[in-house]
Amino acid sequence: MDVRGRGDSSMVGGLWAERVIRSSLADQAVDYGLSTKDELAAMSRSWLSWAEQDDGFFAVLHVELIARRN
Amino acid sequence: MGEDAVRNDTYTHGHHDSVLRSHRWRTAENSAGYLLSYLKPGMSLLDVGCGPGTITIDLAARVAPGMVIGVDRERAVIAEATRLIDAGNPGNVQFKPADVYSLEFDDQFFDVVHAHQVLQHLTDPVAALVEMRRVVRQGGIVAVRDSDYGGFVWAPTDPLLDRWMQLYHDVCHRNGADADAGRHLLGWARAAGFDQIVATSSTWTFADAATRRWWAGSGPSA
Repeated sequence: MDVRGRGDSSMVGGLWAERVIRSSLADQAVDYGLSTKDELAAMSRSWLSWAEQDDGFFAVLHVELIARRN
Repeated sequence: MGEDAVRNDTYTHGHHDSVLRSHRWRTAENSAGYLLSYLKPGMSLLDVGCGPGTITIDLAARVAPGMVIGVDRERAVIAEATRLIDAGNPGNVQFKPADVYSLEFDDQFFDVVHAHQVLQHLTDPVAALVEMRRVVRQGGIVAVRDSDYGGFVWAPTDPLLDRWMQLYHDVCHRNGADADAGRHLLGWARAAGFDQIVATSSTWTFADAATRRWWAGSGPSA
């Protein structure tokens, strides 16, 4: 489907490369003992390097329901 | 269940600006396309987990002059959403803090109840659907959409991105939530008492330089 969003520069930047080091997800991963800051930083670099590859492809699956109340 | 559950629920992403930027990008077209053909002017609509309110505002334009209420547990994003109204958006919308497990509205109050990317973060998604069903009128619809992280695919492969995916699942699991919510929605809705359900799926694709950089976050910061 069309992934265009609100079309100004504010939509650009700051998804997974940043989330994986700066969001609650990052804090929880470290707090829960599931990862380390070093590993999260390496994941962030992987995101940045993925984005620069001409072969880079990513597809995100969503499921949606229309549930009618009888 | 109920109030006990909400006290324990953890929003895995939190509300760091890197999260809110992606939420603000969302529109009715890119996030609620499956719902649009059901909307008609004059319908009342509740948007549960509305975040900064961009989808809510779009939905409000489509059902105007119907009344639209966006609710979210997080007061800070409700304040941001309210600023969207102040910026001159449709007059039929209001935003307020609320708990999906115990909504303040009367039974059968709305024509449509919508929740985008909400159930995957809850410890009791069936209880949330029961409550959403309570406030929708007979003949009305509850519309929900969730991603399924197990259904994400990418190339080239990178062990660190595989590790990211595992870690995301593990953090959600630790929070009592399910990163693979998408595939369970149908079962959860049936468990909540719905027996007339249409399930579909859709994808976002990031496969050119601009969309890759946006999804990964390497573009220029706003």
